[in-house]
Amino acid sequence: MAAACGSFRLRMRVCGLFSAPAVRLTRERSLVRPPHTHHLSSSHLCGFRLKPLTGTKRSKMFVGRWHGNLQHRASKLSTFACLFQYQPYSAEPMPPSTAAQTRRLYAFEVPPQRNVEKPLPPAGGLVQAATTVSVAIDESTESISVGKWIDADLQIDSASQDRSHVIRNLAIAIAFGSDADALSGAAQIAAHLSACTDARSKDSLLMIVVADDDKATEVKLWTFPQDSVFQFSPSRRLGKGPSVQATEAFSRGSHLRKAAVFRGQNRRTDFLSCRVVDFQVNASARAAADFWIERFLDARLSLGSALGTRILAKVLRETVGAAGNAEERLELVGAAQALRQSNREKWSIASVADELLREPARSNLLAHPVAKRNKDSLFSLDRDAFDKLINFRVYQLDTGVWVSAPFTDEPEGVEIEKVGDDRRLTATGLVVAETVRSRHA
Amino acid sequence: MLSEADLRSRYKDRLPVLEQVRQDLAIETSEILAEVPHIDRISYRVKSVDRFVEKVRGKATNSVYNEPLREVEDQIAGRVLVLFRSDLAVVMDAICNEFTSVELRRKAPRTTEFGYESDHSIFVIPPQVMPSTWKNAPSAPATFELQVRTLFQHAWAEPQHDLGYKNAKNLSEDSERELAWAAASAWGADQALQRVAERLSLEPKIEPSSAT
Repeated sequence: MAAACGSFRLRMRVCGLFSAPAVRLTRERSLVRPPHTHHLSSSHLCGFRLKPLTGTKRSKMFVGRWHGNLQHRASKLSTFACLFQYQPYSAEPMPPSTAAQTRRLYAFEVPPQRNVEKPLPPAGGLVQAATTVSVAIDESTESISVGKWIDADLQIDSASQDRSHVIRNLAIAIAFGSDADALSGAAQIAAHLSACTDARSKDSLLMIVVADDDKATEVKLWTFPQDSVFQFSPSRRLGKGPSVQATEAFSRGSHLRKAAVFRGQNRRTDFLSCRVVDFQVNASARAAADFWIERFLDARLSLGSALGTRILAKVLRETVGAAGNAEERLELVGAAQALRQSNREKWSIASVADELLREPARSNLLAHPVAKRNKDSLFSLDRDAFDKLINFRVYQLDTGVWVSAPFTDEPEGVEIEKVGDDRRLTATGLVVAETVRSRHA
Repeated sequence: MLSEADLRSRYKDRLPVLEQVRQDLAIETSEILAEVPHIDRISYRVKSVDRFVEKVRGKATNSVYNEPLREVEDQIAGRVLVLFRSDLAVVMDAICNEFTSVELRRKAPRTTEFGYESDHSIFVIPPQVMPSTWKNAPSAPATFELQVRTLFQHAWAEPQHDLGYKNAKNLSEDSERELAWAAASAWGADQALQRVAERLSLEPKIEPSSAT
């Protein structure tokens, strides 16, 4: 596999296209299959009005291109419009000392080959001129807000002497191994990703970055999905008019992009956990939700389901207990009801606060001492356990009235007396809110 | 490699944070095992400065620890004591469902001997108890140790640790034999309790009122 990977030369560009910013990987020589690129000449565009606009980043890119001074203009424009041209195997000076310096960068075009009997090795290998691409990857990393990162632990073989795990072993080889071992490790991760990717998916671009700072080494695994884009070229100097290519590119801004970042040194206590980006973690399709963390990384959420559910229930109960008024209490009870009825599996305290609560209930929930510590930790909500923990009692009366009483064994103002074989419920209290619903709580 | 004074000083500085993590882990372990029967006690401790330095210095000649402040994994250690041998696996399963294990070892003597028995495990410190100053800090501990034992395993292990483990070179043959006999007795008591518990679980329950 290493030999096959080494035979590829890569040209990489970060280019502004007519969709989200994308990373385009072009093979100089294709051993797998031809690139999916379709060219449209300017004649195909008759009837289209390509009118330069002003005032937007996208239109600035147009203007820059119309004036033909592409690279100069691009350097002044936003990331969206920037363009980096890489020459194969040209040594590029490392940037001045920064927090982390890229030492190795690998890129692979990864075809979906789950359940394929004889999978082909993904095409790619070491990217020699890595600095600028790594800057683009850093931008991708930094663009993810803190709350979107997910803590995950690798499912280490705890019976093994050396804490063996497929991704951990390979990440350590890529970070600390010889050049040959690192290349082989990167190719194996690409093959593993390919074997985990369902055939319904498009190709993806796997980029593996190794960067060092003065304390530790980071290994970043990024995968960018393929997207259909147009690439525009004015070509005015040739007198042929503009041309447009309908092509495929790997999108840096896609909602389907994913990342895993390991940080540490080459020792048995490190590379056991990682931080993950996966916007599909709550996808309704199980295969999509589990793809990155469970199937590819063979990891699990750091906060377990039972513990996370207990923590959330505790925080909700205690915030309800401390609520300043009935309206806030009702807001929190409503959030608990919504959680019970939601089909969504994974929650964090922050996502409950942000998505189900308004102020001041939101801030009060997040201000709970336990919530402060746990707010961004994602976990799978165990609904049965949650029901028991919040003690949500719902009574249906023979009159068609429903009475729901959360968070307590003996709800205040509710009396239940035994009358023969039946029980009679009496509820008293002030009405503080009234809503019309198609169903009871 | 840090000098002993530096090691001692840096570890001492860490103790308040270790103490906070210890408390949080103890609470979370209690939560996890809240509905598991036959738990005698759950306890966590922070390794003392002397024990930490002793552990690092004792093995330093073999270069076991390049970064002891990170690599010594029992800076925080917990212990769960259970009533019956069959509870060992139940407890470990419950904890493994919530904390991520990286190492599980059943320490037991050879089948022809009696001695130390305990289930030792290493878990990743979960992010919700990890102090913010430790996140991404390469010298902060990432793991903690947890032992699960029966009461009788513990009853033998604790005094043996004091008597035998620390004075291994000074023990006479008679003392070694007596410790082994105590271990065999503890093992036998565990087996007997387990058998009785299993018999009772198979027998129909007798209500107190019908028994009188």
